[in-house]
Amino acid sequence: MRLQPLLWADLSAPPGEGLTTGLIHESEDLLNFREDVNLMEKGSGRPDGSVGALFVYVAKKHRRIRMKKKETKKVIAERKSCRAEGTGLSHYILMDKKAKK
Amino acid sequence: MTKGLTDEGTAAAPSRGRCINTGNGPSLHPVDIGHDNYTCLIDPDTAFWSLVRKDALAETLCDKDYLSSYKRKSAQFADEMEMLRFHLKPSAVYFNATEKCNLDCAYCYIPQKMRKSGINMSRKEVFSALRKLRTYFKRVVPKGVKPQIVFHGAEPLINREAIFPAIAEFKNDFRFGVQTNATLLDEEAIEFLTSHGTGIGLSLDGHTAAICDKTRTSWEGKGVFEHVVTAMERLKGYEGYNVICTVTKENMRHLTKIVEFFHSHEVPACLLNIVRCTLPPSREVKPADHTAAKHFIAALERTHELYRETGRKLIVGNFANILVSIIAPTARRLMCDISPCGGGRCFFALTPNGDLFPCSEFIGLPEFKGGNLFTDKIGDVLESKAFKMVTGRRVEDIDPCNKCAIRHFCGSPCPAEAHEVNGAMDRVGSFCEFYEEQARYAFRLIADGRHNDFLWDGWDKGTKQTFEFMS
Repeated sequence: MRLQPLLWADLSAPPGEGLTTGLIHESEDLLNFREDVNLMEKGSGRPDGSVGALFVYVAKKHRRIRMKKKETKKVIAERKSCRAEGTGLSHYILMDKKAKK
Repeated sequence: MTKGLTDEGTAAAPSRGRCINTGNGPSLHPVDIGHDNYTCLIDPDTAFWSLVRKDALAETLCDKDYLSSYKRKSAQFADEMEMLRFHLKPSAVYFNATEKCNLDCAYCYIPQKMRKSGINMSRKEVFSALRKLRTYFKRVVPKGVKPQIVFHGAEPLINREAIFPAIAEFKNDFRFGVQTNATLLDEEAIEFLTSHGTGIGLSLDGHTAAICDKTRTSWEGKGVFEHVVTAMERLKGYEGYNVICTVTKENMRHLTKIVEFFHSHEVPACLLNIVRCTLPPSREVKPADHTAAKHFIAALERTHELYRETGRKLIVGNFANILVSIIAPTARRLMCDISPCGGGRCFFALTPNGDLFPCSEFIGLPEFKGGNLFTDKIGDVLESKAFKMVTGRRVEDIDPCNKCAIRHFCGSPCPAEAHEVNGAMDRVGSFCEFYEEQARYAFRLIADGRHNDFLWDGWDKGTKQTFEFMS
């Protein structure tokens, strides 16, 4: 199935207030469209992190697209835990790498 | 225990803690993170946080489900912070096998006299020191975890005749790293270090020779930019290397260009470390807090753009650590941004004559010598008065940190700096807004769902989700 650009959408509003692609996920035959990742990968990201105008790619045979405002979460709270090791060294990211083959 | 008394024998407050910010209720401080839609609630003691939509703040503060979700976990989170701050054992050493350096960098924390005419450890002494450390770590480090040794400086490769055989001999006992100015890092050295899986840290303060030469030159005033770039070319493709850029007033305006330069050379990770002002010469290149923060955040944004354009990340390790400290406090690895810091409790520093200091930052301050590896027991050194001055430094005793909501994401670094610049351990270091702005920025990234782009792949391996509240 070939993909083609179907429409332009301006998503320049702050996150949560502009049009988003949320309901596009409900479309049939939409290939590999992942919100955020694809938008940014197509070079539509702005330096300040907001999302500008972009192409939305959908399957050729798709006809109807509904778009609506994305609901932003009222509260985002999460935490992960693990056993602390606490090396403290500035080489910390690389010290667990394997030797060069 | 007498009814109504706590374990410590004090009277327990007769409050059921039903409401936020009264009695035994959770203490949640609202913090403006500079985001259009979200503000943050933080319990400073447990490092618990929530991003709350601004138009739902009042509703959330009165939300019984939200409150009870947190109350069920608050004791566990408090325990986590207690363990992280006070009960870790050392697992790493900054190992200075030489006092000498062939450079005279503007901000070095090792006194000039030592670097110019200091001593080297002999090969025999290096081996002896590593044997003693191996014996100690076998007792305190959990099974399956290898302690870490980073040959640090001064310039460690001045004494490669002692260091390299030690890496080969003790490769099964330690994970090794070398922090070097790259001037002596020739092809042979790279082949040896990379084939032994040794971490390699290079130091480079700019994307041009002119900027680098302002802070990092030889004793004769010659620049070393080309040496470092040559080493970067040779190390391309080796995942176990990073570049440390010390942020000063001389290079802060160029940080965006500097990360572009690192990224174009396929550097996998860098640290943009703000200059430590422990010794007087480094204070000459100290940048203003808020200005440094502005340029630092611009550089982080640039790394994000580069990732989006190329699919390749340049991890800024010190900022990634702050992000991790927010999302998963116990998964943090750097220990500068928490109090007590890691000095003297997660790691310590060894000098060529065997003296032990809580951290390399203290090497120029004799009153912080805790003992000697060759004549004292490490356990006794860790309990020495000199070490206790550092390991006993808590943000709760520092003004304004004792009122600050982000105190466990910042830690008020650095104790050496606080002591030397501001006169006591219970004072702040040289920077405050720099850390404030990093925390605000980190929360903005989380609000926008962009934070994973700034973290190394697999950072959360071994972690599990212990709290989630989304509404």
